[in-house]
Amino acid sequence: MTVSPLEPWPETVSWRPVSGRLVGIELIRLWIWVAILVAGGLIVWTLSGWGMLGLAVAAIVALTVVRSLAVVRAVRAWGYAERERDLLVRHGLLVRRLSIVPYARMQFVDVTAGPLERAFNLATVQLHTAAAASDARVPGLEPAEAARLRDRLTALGEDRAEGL
Amino acid sequence: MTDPADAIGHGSGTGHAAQRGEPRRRLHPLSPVLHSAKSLVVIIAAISWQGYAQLGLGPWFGLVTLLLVGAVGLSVLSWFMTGYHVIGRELRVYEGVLWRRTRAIPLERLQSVEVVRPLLAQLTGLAELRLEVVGGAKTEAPLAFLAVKDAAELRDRLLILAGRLTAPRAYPGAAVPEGAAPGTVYPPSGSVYPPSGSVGATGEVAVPGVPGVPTLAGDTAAPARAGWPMGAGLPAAPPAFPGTPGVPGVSAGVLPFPPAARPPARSVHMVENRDVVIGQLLTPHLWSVPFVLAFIVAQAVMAASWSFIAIASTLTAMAGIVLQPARRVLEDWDFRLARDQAGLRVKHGLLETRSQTVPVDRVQLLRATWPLLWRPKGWLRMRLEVAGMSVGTEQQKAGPMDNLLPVGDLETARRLVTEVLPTVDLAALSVTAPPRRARWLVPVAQPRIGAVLTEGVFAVRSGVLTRRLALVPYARIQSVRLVQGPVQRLLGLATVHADTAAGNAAAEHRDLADARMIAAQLTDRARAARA
Repeated sequence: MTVSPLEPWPETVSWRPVSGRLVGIELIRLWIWVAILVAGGLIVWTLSGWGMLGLAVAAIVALTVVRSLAVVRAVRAWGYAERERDLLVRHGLLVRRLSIVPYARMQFVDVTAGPLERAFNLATVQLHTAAAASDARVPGLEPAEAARLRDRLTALGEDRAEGL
Repeated sequence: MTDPADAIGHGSGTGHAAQRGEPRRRLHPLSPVLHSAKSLVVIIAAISWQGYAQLGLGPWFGLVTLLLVGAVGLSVLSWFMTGYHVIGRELRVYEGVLWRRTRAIPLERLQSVEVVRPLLAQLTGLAELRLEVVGGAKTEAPLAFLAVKDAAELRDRLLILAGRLTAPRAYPGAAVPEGAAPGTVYPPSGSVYPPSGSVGATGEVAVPGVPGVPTLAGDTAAPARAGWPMGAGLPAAPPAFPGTPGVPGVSAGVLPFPPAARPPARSVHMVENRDVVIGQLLTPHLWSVPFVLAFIVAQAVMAASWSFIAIASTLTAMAGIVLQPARRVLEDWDFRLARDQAGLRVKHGLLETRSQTVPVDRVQLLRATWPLLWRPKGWLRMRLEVAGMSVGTEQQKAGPMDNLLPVGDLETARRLVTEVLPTVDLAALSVTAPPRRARWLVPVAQPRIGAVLTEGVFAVRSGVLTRRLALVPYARIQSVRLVQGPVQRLLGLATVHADTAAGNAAAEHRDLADARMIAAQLTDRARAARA
C-alpha cells in the first residue's frame, strides 16, 4: 500500500488545500490555552511552592513546542475535493479521517467565522446532513472561496432528491 | 462594511443577490426587547432577594438598571447582526456578533414551517417562524421575531418556493387579526408537510383531541417541536395522548393518516408472553441478585459497623437493577406486530398499552442482538432506528418505542426482517472478517466481527459475548467516513462508518484496500438506491 489512505481515488480526485493562514489561527488558539494553563500553574506554584507543579508547567511547554511544529502538518492534512456527486473532506494527522458526503444529502450549509478567523480573513464551511455523525467541515477558507463553495453546495443540493 | 464576515455573508452571493435575491431583512425591532425580557426576569429574580437586603434600594435599582441596559444592549447588537433573505431557492440566515454564522438552507429541504406565537409575542403582535429540515432533532433556524403578517407571508413564500404549495393558499391563520386569543398557535403551524409531498393531507394532520386518530409515530415528536416554555399556558383542547403535555395545535403528526382511510392491518407476528418473561429472566440483571445479596449478608456479618443506611441504599440500588427487566416485561407484554400500507403497526404494553406506526421507508437501521444468556435458546431481539422518532425527553422516558422483536428465534426474526428489508435473509448473511493482523487490535473478536455488502443493505457484525448485527439500507446512508487510527495505520487497516440519520454502523479494522472498496461501494450503492 503506497497510496495514502487519505487519498483514496487519486486518479479521479483533485484535492484542494486549505489556506496556510490557518496555521496562525491554530497556533494562537493553542497558545492561548497553554498561556492560561501555564499562568494558572505558575501562580499556584509561587503560592504553594510545590515542586511538581514546576515540572508540569515545563512539560506543558515542551508539549506545546512539539504540537506547534505538528500544527503545520495538521493544517496541510486538511483537504477537500468536490467530486461530481459528493464532497470529500479529509483531515487529521494521528487519526486520519476521510468523509464522503453526497450533495444530495445536504440539509443546509453554514459559513462561520469566529473572531480569530476574521482577524485572519478566513472562514469555515460546514455541510450538515441529517446524520449527526457526518463530518464535513472545511476550515481555513478564503471568504471568496467559502462563498463559492457554499453556493456550489447549495446549488448542487437543490438539484437532487429529498435529503432523507 | 469591510468586515470579512460580511464578505462571507455576501461574498460572491452579492452578485446573485442583485440578480434574483432581495436585500437582507432584519427581524422585528421589538425582538431584542422580547429576547432580553426573558433573561431579565431571571436576572432580577437572581439578585433581588439577597441583593435587595444587602444593597438597599438605591444601589439595587442601579444594578438592575445596569443589567437591563446590558441585556438590552447585547440583544440589540445581536438583532443588528441578525438578518435573513431569500436568494433564488435558498434562505440565508445571518447571525452572531463575534462568532458570525451564515446558514444557507435550500428550500427543497424544508420539512415544515411553523408560525408560533408564545405569550410575549402574543402581547406584542409578533410571531416566531420555525423552519425544520429533515432528520434534524431540533428546529434549525428559528426566526424570532417577525410581525405576524410578515411571518405568514414569509411562510407562504417559502413553501411556494419549496414547491410544497402550488398557489398561495388562504390559510385561516394568515388572516387572523392581531388580537387573536392569547396563547393560540395558528392552525397551519401544526401542518407538517409530509415528505411524500401529499399536501392534500395537511388538513387532516393528526390533531390532538380528534377521536379515532391513533397514536402515531409522529405524535411523539410533538413535545420536541412544541418545547416553547411560554406555551405552557396554552388553552383549550385537553391533552389527548399520554405523555403529550398540553400542546394543542402544535402537534405535528409526521405521518398524517386520515382516520377513515386506514386499511385493515395484516397481522405479522405476536410474541408469546411466556417468552418475554423467560427472556427477561435470562438477563445479567437478575443473575446478579444472588451475588449482591450474598455480598450484603457477608458485609453485615463480617463488619458490624455496616450501617442500616448502607444496607438500605444497596438494596435500593439492587431494586433498580431488578426493576429494569420487570419494566421490560411490562412494556413488551402482548407484543403484536401488524403490517398495513403505512408501515408496521406495533402494539404492546401491559399497564400502558402503546401502539405506533413505524413507517418502513423511514427505518434507518435495523439492529439485531443475541444476548449471551439467550444463546442456548437461540433467541435474539431486534430494534429499528427510525429517523425523527428518538428525539425529545418524553421519548426517552417512554422507553424503546422502536422494538421490532422483543424476543424471538431466528426463524421469526428472518420473517420479520423481510417485512422491513425485503432483500435480506438473516440466516444467509455471512460477513467477512477483517484480516488476521487485526488481532493486534481486537485479539478475541477478530474472527467474530465483520461486514458484508449485500444486495440491499450494508451488514456489520460485532461483539463477542453479546453478538450484534446492524443492517443499514443503502438508501438511508447519509455519509460515509473512513477513519484510521495510528495503530491501524501501522497495520494497514481502516474503519468504515456508514452514517444514517439515526445512528451509524462501522465496519472495523478492514484492510485498507478493502475499506476503500467498501467506502466506494457504499457511496455508489447509496446513490443508486436514492435514484
